[in-house]
Amino acid sequence: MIYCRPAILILCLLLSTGSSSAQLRFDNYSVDRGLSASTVLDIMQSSDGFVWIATAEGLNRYDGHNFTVFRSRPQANTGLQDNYLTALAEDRLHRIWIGANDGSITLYDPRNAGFLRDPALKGFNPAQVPILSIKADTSGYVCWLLQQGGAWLAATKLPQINPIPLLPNDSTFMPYCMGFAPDGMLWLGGQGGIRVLNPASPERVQASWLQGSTVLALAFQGGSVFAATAAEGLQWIDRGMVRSINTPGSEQLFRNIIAMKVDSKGYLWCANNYFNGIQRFSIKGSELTQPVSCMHNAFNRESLVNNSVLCLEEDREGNVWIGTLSGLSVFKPLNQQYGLLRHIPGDPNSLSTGNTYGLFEDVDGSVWCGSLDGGINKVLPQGNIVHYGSGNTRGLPSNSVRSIYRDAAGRYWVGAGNDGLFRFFPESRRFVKAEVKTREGYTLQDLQVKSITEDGQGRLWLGTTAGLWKYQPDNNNLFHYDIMPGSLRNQPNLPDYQLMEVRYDARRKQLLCATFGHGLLVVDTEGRVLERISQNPESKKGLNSNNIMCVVPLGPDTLLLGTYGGGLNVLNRKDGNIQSLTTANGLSNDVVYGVLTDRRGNWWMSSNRGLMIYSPQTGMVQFLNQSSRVQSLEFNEGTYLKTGNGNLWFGGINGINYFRPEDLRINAMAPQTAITALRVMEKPFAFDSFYHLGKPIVLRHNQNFLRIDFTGLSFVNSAQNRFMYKLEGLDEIWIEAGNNRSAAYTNLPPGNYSFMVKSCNDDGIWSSGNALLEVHILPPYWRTWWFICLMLVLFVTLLLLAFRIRTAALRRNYQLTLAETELKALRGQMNPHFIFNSINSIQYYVLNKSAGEAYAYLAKFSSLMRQILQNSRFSFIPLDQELQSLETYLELEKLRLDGNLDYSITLDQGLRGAQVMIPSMIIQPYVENAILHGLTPMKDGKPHLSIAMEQTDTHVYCVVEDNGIGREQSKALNNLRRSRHESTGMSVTRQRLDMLNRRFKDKLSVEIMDLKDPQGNACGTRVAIYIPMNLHHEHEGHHRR
Amino acid sequence: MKAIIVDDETKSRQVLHALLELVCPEVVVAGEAADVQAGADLIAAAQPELVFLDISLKDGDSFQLLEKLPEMNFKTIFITAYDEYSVRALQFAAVPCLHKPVDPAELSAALKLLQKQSTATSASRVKEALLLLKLRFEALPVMQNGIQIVLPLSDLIYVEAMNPSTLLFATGNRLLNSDKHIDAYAQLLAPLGFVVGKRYCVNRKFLAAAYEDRLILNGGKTLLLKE
Repeated sequence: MIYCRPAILILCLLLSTGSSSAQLRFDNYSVDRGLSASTVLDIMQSSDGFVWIATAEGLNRYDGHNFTVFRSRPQANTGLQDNYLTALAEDRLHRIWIGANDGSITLYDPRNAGFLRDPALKGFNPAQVPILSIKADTSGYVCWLLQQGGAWLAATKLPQINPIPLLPNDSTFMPYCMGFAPDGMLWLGGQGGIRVLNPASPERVQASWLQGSTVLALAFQGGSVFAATAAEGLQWIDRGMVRSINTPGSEQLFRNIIAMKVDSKGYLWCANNYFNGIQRFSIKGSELTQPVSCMHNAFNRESLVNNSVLCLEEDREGNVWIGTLSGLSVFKPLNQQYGLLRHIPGDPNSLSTGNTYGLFEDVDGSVWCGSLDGGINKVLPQGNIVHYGSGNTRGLPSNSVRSIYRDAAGRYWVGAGNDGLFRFFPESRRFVKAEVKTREGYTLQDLQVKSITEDGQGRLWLGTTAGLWKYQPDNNNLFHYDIMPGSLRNQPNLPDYQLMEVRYDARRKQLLCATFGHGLLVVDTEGRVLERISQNPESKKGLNSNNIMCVVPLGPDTLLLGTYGGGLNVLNRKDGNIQSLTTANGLSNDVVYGVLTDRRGNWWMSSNRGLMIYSPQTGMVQFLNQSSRVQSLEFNEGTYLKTGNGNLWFGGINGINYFRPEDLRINAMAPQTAITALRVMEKPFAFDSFYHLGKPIVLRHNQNFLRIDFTGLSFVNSAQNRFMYKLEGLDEIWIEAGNNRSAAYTNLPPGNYSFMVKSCNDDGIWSSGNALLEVHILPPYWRTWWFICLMLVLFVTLLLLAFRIRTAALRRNYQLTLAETELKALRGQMNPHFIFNSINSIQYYVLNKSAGEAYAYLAKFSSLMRQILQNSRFSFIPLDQELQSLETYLELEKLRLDGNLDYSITLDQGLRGAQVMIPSMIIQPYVENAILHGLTPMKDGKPHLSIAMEQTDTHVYCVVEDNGIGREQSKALNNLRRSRHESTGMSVTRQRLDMLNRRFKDKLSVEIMDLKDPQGNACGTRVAIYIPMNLHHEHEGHHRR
Repeated sequence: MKAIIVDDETKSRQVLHALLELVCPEVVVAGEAADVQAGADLIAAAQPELVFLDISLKDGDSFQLLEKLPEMNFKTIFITAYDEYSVRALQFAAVPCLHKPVDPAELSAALKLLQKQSTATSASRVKEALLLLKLRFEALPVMQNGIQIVLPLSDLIYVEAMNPSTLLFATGNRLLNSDKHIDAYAQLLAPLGFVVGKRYCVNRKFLAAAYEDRLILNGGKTLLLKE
């Protein structure tokens, strides 16, 4: 035991009188629920909502479901230094200070999930004395105590932690406990009283109190401070005054206090070391009232887990966490408000059994309660329980009591076991059997009386396992009514059916009989069946089930019928209309044992799945099924009661629940949400630093399978916390996760995602913010921008290349085509007709033996051939060369035509001697055409051809004019020809012009004009050819490329 | 033998005249003409046995001239400096045609050929050539049992050599006999888009597949290229 405080071990039987019987119920956690060790030395809730638990072996972080355990690793330089942890505190920077038994302090920084052994924290504790306590305030101070005296303070405001010893020279004081008051003052309590320091100037003691006392624990409430002293009980320091607080118990109570806390509801919790558990008081002025003692009870799993309490903390939801020697107990006030009576073996103030039946409210507000096997329990208004069982009464045949009733005359009647009706005398603890027979000789022997009620005339009506009975206690008359329909009537023996409940309708003077199997029977006070409401398979109007468990009037004309299997049926007695409420409407169970209405108009139904609360206003169904709130999920028939003070009572197989719905508070504290784990490709991923620093997690494209665990930090009923989440970037909507605390995403495409999760506590209060985890999944390199750019550049380059190749090909192709047309033009110039005619002429001269003429002709002819061949080697030739060959050609034509041709060639002054280049073989075809088609067919007149060359700024302008028959007549003549008359020369020239014009910006153009004489007759043709002068340069440019 | 010369070039006429005197003194040139009308008039007036016709005339061509005549009771030799188009028709019809400058040997060969022919045969062959030109090579004139039939080329599926004559297979299961040699068809049809061989001239339009040794026609008929 490390706590060596001066304490006297006493076993005092505390608070056995005057304490409320209401037991505080705890949720208990020990090693078997994941806690790393059962000795819990300190508890703290961090600002992010987790609860941290320091144990004798490891640090635990509790998220409502799981304990995440941090332990020291031997040989490692990081992590916790020691596993025996004694103190916890969170500083202003949200780092957790962890004090250990070996005297070390380790800092846990959630931003990198790292345990830091700050070098500055090494030197303060050379003796390696255990750390007793660590406290931190909101302004950045952290103070810790060493077990054998010595207090140290450090300011975490500074970039460097710089611990200083407090009160180093005060030999009269040895601190045991401390706390920061709401005003920021540091209170130290211990041997020698209390010292108050201002952490900003710690060298000076601001105030001292109780200097002769030993202060064991401090608790702060507003501006006042409670101090537990070893000898003077509880002291209250308020506004500069010290007062002793009167406690109902002994002053010894405070001798073994190890921790105290005033919770948010104003209760003072006192944690008692050395086997005395927890005491809770209500503070009324300077008095402590309503003491509740919480001790461990081995038979009550909801009792404090161990009587040796070591620490105590309240979380933000108001739950009180109690660390003990053998685990953790958590008191949850929101669960405690659901009153719960149980059977606790050995506890005389608990129910005699858990399986309860037949609740009945007495005139004094006590509640009578039958049971399956525990006789009768009377729950007094204060909460104490009185037992009436076979052991302490007379005349009760068995401990089975199904029904209890107090009639108008004050007599108690009890349906006991299978033995009929008994009169019960509580004062004398006596039961007397009603020994009575009907006229027919029937008795109540062997019958179970499930329900007892009374009509206005003092007659008891009994619902039994053998139908309906009437008993008149005044004259001891008993009647049995055979109310069964059809074949069940007039049986010699008693009918075998159960009447679950009989209720008297005073206004109608009718009895409402809930039968098991035959629906609801309405009977008059003479036992005549007035009406039977049952299941009707033919018509939809009818009950859902003929097994009626309870009949409860709601207003004058409505009956609520709880059924076994058909949910709740609502019968309107005026029009016979029946409505039903079943699992189809949201109930969790179709068995309704009992129905009670609260003042808000809600219907509370007991079932086999807990309590169901239906709001007729909204149609909503809520459930009360938390194990820490209801006795169990299964309730019992005939065991429901609304008392005069508005309390609803429901009994079941494991106790009784009672509560006033109007008093129930909900958990209005929105939970904090936290992401607890990230798994990438099913492997844990250290994400804390990203999570806490809000940095995105960057993953590769093949790390795209994420599983994210999260939690809602509401501890009241954490199993019922609900979640919704959304992966921004993928999910369009929030996904309702129900109670699932994990989300998985597979095959996430590259992109930026934000995972957001909200949580909601068991009362439907959603967290306002989201827990956020940003994940960036990088695109694979082939989808990165630089790769795409690269590809784009490559593509464009390829495209350009392809374009270049293609244009080159086209150009080559074009060159070929041009060459082809040039070749054709050459062939056109070497007109075979002309050539052979010319040779024919030479033949003529030879035959005529005119050698000179033949020679001259031959010379001219060969000269022309030479010129044509020469010109044809170039695409462009000088203008004068073209003119020269034209002249030669014309001379030859003139000879061929026996001189019957005049021609003239004129040249513009500017063109003389000028080096004008024109496309070769462009003009000649027009000249030939003029001779062949214009001049040769002429019948009269002298054929004349003129070629005129002129120059404009940009063009050479060539006019070939003849005085022939004109195009029209020539065409007519040609049409008569049978031989082919298409001038190949002309079509080749056109083709060449097209090719040249396609190539060059400046276009060649040819205009053909028909000449007319004054009478309008054709008198020749004029062909004008415009040749751009810079065509040649352009051509050269092309070639250089 | 009385002959006339129609040519638009004086020198050509004189050359031919001189050559005839040189090569075939029995041919007597009874007159010369330079254009279509003069030529026609001269033929009517002189009634020559033989006419030398230059295809291309000043004001038209010699086919126009022939069409002007009521009948052709003379033999004809065509002369041209260069006229591939018309020459193809003349060759198909086996009409003698000389090229300028005229080769004396060719001239005498042509004259010898015509001497063996009757005037009627010569005339009918000229008419055939004339018809082919008129049809612009879009259809073939085929003589069937003395009746001139015109077969559109688009209807001609193939020509098969039945040496020395030929068979023409046309659409609609038509089968025509021709006394022409397959070579005449080959020369005529090759430039017109027919697949031409020693045994067959096949219209590409009806050709489904061609192999080294056989041609498959649409419809599956197989023509073996070798015996």
